[in-house]
Amino acid sequence: MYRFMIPAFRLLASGGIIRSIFQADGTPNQRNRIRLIWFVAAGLLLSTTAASANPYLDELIQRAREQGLAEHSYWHRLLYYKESGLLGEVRSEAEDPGFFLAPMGRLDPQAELEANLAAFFRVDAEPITKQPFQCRFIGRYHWLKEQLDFDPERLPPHACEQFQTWYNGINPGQVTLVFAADYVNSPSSMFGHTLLRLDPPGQAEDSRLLSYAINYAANADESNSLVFAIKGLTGGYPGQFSVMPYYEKVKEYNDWENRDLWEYQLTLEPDEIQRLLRHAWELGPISFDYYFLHENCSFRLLGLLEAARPGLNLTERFDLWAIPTDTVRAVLAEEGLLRKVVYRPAASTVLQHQVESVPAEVQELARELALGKLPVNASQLQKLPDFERAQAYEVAYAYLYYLFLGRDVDPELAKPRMRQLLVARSRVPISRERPQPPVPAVRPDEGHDTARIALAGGQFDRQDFIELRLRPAYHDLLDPAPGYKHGAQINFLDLAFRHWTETGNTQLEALTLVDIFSLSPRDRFFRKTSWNASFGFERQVVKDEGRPLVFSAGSGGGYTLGFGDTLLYASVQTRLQAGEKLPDHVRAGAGPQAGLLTGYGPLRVLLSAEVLWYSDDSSPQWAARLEPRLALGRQFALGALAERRQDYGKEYNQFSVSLRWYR
Amino acid sequence: MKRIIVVAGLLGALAMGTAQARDNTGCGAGTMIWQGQKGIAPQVLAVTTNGTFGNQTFGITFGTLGCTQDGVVGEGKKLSMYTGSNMDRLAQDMSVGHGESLNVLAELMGVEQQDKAAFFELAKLNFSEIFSSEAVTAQDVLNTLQAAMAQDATLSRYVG
Repeated sequence: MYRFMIPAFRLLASGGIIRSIFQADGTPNQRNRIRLIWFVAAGLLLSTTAASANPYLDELIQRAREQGLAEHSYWHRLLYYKESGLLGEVRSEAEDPGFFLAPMGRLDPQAELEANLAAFFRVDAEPITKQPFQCRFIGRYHWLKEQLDFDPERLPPHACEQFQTWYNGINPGQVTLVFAADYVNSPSSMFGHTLLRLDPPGQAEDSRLLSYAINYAANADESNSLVFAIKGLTGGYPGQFSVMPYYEKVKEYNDWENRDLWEYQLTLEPDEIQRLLRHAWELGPISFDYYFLHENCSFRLLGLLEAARPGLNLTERFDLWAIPTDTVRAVLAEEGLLRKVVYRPAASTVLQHQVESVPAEVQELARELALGKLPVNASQLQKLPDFERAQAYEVAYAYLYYLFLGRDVDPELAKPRMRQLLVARSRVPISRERPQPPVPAVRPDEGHDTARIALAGGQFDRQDFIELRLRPAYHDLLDPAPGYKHGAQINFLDLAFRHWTETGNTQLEALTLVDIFSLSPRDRFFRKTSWNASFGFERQVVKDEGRPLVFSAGSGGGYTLGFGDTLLYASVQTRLQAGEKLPDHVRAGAGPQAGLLTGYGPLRVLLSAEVLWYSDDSSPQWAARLEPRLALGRQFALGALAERRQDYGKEYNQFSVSLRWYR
Repeated sequence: MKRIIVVAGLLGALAMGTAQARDNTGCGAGTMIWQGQKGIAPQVLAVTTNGTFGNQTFGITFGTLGCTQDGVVGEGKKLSMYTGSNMDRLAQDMSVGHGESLNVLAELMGVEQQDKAAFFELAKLNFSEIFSSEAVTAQDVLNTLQAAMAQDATLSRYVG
């Protein structure tokens, strides 16, 4: 059933044409080409000189052939060889010519293996990273050494000081997989992010900030969001590994982007960790093409884990897309690989908790302090008992910092005030840890899988239909809630086909490219706005024209009020539709929308209504919708829809029931 | 039809525009409020959204740059780089005399477990001098902190 979605996705993912347009002046590519030429020349020289003059090399090559090492799955893993084409030939996912020593190394595992063996004898340094070849490809070197039992007399090992200094500096004793929660405001982070953390042996739990992180990211410096999104989806950016202190990542995610972090400490053994770092070292100087959806941060980290533990088979499960939470689930599915989970709340999560845990009058004082409506030493504060005064300053500071990072206050006014608040707090004779929010009952990896297959049956204007709906990612407002952010929806590449039972026709019902709905409750502290954006193809009832397929793009903004789990929202929507069958071919519309999202246990209900006035002569289009959905465990849900709407003067009803399976 | 595609593309661009509220280049300063440490922190920082790096950070991946080698901080630079990168967190922790970032600072200064409470208290008591203005640098913070420790019976042995 899944394979069905491949063509549409491949079209988008490969996007050769779009990509070549964007890379017309792509300097990285040019640089690569020059490097390739250099390598071809160097490689040719190497292969002719090496094979003739060195009997031990000849012997090693002979033994490698006998043992079939070039076909070994681990060799393929270290070099990212994947089957491509119908004849079973392989090609490496790594495009960087600096990653191969043989001229055709990207396509030829055997030639590449032999070129590596030859290079291990060389005493000169690899030209790009200035290290001996044994050290530059230290993961390959150690694996081949193990397999072929190198004779240290005839193939002397290099010391690899640079690698060793790096390794000792990191001092890895434990590997932790870190998940940064989804960040709906950037196309590259919509589904979350993962990175690896390397913890020294015996490190205390409260010193983890000093660990190092290995991060894989696209190197993009793009101000145009659409270009960023398209290039990102089509592999237009080089992806690179980097190493940095973990505190940099905590600051970035927790504080600057307000994203919760989940740290999954893994039970990898010392020899596995060593393999992981050696392989990471090999990948350090090269870049891969970065695809937001598939060959992304999470996918490449799986490659590191597979290099660490040869028995792990993680990447093969993600042949089309790799959503970070799904990759975390794949890792945790390995028996005994998880040691412990630590939750690290975002600054805004801590602030929210702090606000909720102080009395209402302290809340109000803190808010006025932060906004500068109250001087830091105001008499109302002096009258408070020490504990509440401490609370007021703590909340005021955290709130002002939050506003400051969100650029909601003038930084030149905010900076001195933030300092004054901290000074005032330091003078209250109470020392304490700021209150920490409780760990959420359900972790992100414990939520439903992100792909969804839905089968529905229903009636549209008294005509019966059956509908099949496929959605690779991610979560909508009504999907089973545990483990996901409340009020956040991202539907990606949602594809629907409808079969009309009376006429026997089957047609494309809709293809939603992106559909984001973000409901953030607004209160006295968090003056958040809610927004939505979607575009794709859908069926639109048009007078005398039936239901033609039209392109439709919409966006809206408004406010949400929260009452526990119940969200009440109102927004102003705009929509643009384009299609041959529309009277004017293109029309634009605007109007209000309101909705109520509520839940009770596994049941969630969305009630919504909207009116849109369009630029053409259609009477205002309106719709009212009731959608209940009942979660059946973690991976199934039963949904229903009842809708009444009016398009081009035609009023009609739609009803359906559906079964949804997440996988 | 062509026009339709253009219009559709523009609207799509608008929609995605709202989807990306922040710019993708880095901010180039160690921390947000305080001056931080010029020349050290900025190399590592310029990062905002995950998955995307500003060009400034390209160099730190693998290779030599200032106080990091292949991403690993040099032995003698650990304290100053940590302080420069964590000024906001450190200020907040010092003001309440507690917190993870302050604890890690104690670790980096070699303060032993039994003396940490005294260290935390000293940082809190001297907060207004340690963070004497918004323009304070990491080096100022460390200097003032160490001067205060030198005057303290328990903590003077960690200075000098």
